[in-house]
Formats: sequence, structure tokens, C-alpha cells
Amino acid sequence: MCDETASLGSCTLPGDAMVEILLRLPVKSLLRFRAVSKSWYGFLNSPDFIQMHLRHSQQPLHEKLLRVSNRGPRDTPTISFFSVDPTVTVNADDIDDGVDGYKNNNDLYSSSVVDLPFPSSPDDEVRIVGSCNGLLCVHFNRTSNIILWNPATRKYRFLGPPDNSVSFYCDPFFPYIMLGFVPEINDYKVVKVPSSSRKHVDAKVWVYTLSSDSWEEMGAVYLLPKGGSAVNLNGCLYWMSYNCDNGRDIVTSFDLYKQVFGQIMVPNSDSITDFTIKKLVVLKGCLSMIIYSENGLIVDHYEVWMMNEQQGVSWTKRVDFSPFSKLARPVGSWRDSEIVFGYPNGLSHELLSYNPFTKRAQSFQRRSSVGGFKVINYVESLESVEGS
Amino acid sequence: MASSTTGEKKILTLKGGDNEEFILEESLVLQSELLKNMVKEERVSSIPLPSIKSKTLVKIIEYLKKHAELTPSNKEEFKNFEKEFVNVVLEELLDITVAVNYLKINGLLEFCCQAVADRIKDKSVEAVRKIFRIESDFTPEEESEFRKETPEAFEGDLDDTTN
Repeated sequence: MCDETASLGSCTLPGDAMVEILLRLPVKSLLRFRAVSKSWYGFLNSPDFIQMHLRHSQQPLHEKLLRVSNRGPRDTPTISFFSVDPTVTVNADDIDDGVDGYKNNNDLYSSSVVDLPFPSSPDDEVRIVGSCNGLLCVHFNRTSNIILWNPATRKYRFLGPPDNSVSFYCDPFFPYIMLGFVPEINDYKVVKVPSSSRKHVDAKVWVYTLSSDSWEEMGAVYLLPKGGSAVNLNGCLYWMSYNCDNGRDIVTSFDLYKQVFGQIMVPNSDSITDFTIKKLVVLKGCLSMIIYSENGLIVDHYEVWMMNEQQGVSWTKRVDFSPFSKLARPVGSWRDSEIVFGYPNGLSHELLSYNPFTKRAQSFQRRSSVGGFKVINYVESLESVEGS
Repeated sequence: MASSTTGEKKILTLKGGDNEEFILEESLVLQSELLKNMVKEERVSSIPLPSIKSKTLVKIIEYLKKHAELTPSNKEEFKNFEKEFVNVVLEELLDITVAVNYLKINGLLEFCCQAVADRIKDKSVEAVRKIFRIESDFTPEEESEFRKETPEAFEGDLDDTTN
């Protein structure tokens, strides 16, 4: 703490208290307060402070969700960030099937819409494909351009394609792109996996490293990504894949530091049928899978399986529960142990955060949206896209 | 002074900066890491706190009492109390924050820091300098550079007041 005190310069407050206050400020205020004095400028720009601020934003209380809505396929998406007061929850049993009788906590969340600061041609389609430590990875479907973007600082970086890039662009379908943090080297990597079948032998896996601003080609994996967001946990990426040879679902992992692929079998659940959907999330710091069957449109049952790494790599079923709405689908997880569900309610789409361990729930964001929407985890940070 | 007791409860005297004395149960001050260590190691019964104004000390003791009475059933009431607690002029809130930081009352410190952050987040650069008595060492040219570099950080209704 001594260094921080020194670098903040003299002021009416002791340095450590001043740091505690600054950690609790939004990025917009911090960018402005860099102009207070040279010592504040140096301190607020220091990697130590940026790290401390990020850790503070990552506390469950300060986590945000980002909702991306597309009105049409060719439409610039509307991106809104919002956070919800996590202390206001109700017992899930009090939520009726129709959810209409349940008070919607519209006054509990704050939300803001952001503009995309980078140029995008009107006929291109923008997808947010990854989110990590306040950085978003954006993919343009038509041009195949990839951008790393910090919406809080409004800084972005265009990830130029590799020099010898014939195979870089040869994926006929939208590639599966993921963003992950590598704690061992304090760096970010973007992984691009072909989403077409093995017959397209030219399609390769590419890995981008932010600090060196370069792409590296890797051997192809013959497993097709199934869509749905990848999970970034402890320096590894995990995503659901499909093994074309045996027709089975499998979890593919990629160790971002060692740059090696791995495979994890899906849980051995009795309820797995042809209609089973498997969604990867992080709960209580563990890789977790929500399994549910969609018979027609109706869901009757969810299972939560968690990875237990102490006894090798094995799945344990931790909870199962019935849906609050037969149309609810898990769209992600946040705040350590809560699952976010999305479901249609009349003409609007609603979100519900549910803690399967305490059975407490919170409903929010009733918003009419004609097109689809995607919910992405987000924390506000000062993290740089420059790769230092 | 020997340690005094009434019944089983130990009593402690805190002396504010203006020599005003506050007599309270020792169990109450154990929420402060600093006072806890003093009481445990030196077995004192009177602690001078010359750097803390009596007015500030009154507020902090009020908080300690309320916090000690906190139960799951009066959570809502405590929340309202906390809201009122920081509803003071900014200068007074900073005095409380500095004192709480010195006394190491961790939960309250976090709460005060968040309250200060909420109060200053929409302040102008000039206001922040005045509030924390910081001299600017940037030239006007350098300052206008910041506005050019991150114009959005200077957008909106910025508050020039220091309270």
C-alpha cells in the first residue's frame, strides 16, 4: 500500500482510504479524474490500479450483464449494459408459472445503451463473440474482421489477419470465436475454430495473442462447435462440440497457456435423450453443465452437473429443479452461483436470475424484443486493448 | 485508571479531539480493529483519540450501536439507517471516512468509501481538486488534451460543487 500512497500524492485523505474510494468509481469518472494531477494520472494508469479495479468490478455485487438485441439480421445490434441489486430476491416458489403475479423489479436495475465506436458497414452483421475482464470480442460476419473492444474506455483494436491468410478466411460458415484471459502471462488470446466439417481441410484453428499482436496457426480439431457461448475458466476455454464420427456431444477444452486441446465426456445422465440440450456455465468457480430436455417447446426439468477435479475429471449432479416457466431457457450464469434464464412473457422477453443452491430468484428486464437476444457477462474495467 | 466494570460488562472511555468523553461498553468498540488490539494488549480503559472530532465520534458510536443491534429481522431498518448515516455534507462524510479508516472498522469503511464514490462520481475535475485539496500540476494545454483524448468522460452535467 505504501507505493500507492506515494504515487497518489498529498490529499486530505490517507492514501489507502483514497484508493478504496477510487476503486469504487465507474470507469467514466476515473478517465476524467486522470486530469486531477500528474500523480493521479500516473496512479490511475498504473497496471496495479487497473488490476485492483478489475478485481473490485468482478465481485458478484458489481457484475453486469450485457444484452445484445438484433431487430433483424442486417441490423446494427443494440447493446445495453445493466446491473441489478443482488440483495433483492424472492423465494422461487413464489414465482408463478405465468410469472405475471410476480412483481418485476424494474426499479432495481440500472441500464445504459452503448454505441459501437468503430465503423461498420450497414450491410454487415456484428456479433459479440466473447467477453472477458471488461474486453469484448466483436466479429463482423461479412468481412470476417475481428475487433477487441473495451466499451468503458471506448478503446478498440482491429485484429489484423495473419500475413499468409488464405486459410484464415476459408471457413464458409461463421467461425466459432472465443476470447480468454491467460493468467500465467497476464495476456489475452482469441481462438478461432472452424465451424464447418472436416471435409474442409483448409480450415484451421487460429490463435491470436494480444501482447504480440499476432496470429498462430494450429492443427485442426475435427470436432464441430455446437454454438452457444464458450466458458473461460482458470486459463482454459470450454465449449460444447459434436463429434462427427460417433455423433456424440463432447466438451472441448483449450488450455490457453500451453495451447493444447482436450476433451471431456458429457455427464452420464439418465435424462439425456435426443432432445437434450447441454449448456456450459460457471457455478461456484466450477465448470458446470445445465442439462434440460426440450420436448417440443416445453421444458419440464433441469439438471445441474458440476465438474469435480479433485477425483480426476468427473461430473457430479448437484441439483435438479423444475422450471418456473415452461418456456424458460438458461442463457448464462453470473454472481458466482446464479443461473440466468430467459423466457418470453406476452410480447416481451424477461430475464430471471436463479440461485439453484439457495432457491432464491430475481426477475428483471422486461423488454419487448421482436428479434433474438443474447445475454453476455460483463464487468467494467480499465483493461487496455493495447497489449502493453 | 483501573479497568471498571458494571455487572459483567466492561466499560471503556473514548476521548475525542476536543476532550469530550464518551463512555461505552467495551464490546461495542471491538468492531474497531485498532481499539480491539489496544484493549486486548494493553488493557486500557480510556483511549484518547485526539485526531477525531467529537462530532465525528458521536456519529461513529451511533453506527456501532446500531450495527450491534443488527438482526435478520431489522435488516431493512438498518439499511435505512445507513442511508441516513451518510446523508451529511461531503466534508463531514470525509471526516467520518478518515476516522473509520484510522479505527479500522472494516465494514463501515467499505460502506463510507462507496458513499464517497457515489457522491464524487459526477464531479468535475476542479471540484475533486477542491474536495481533496489537490493542486493541479497540469498546464491548461495538457488539460485540454484530456478532453480531446476522452471527450465522453467530460460529457454530461458535471457537478462543480464541493458538498
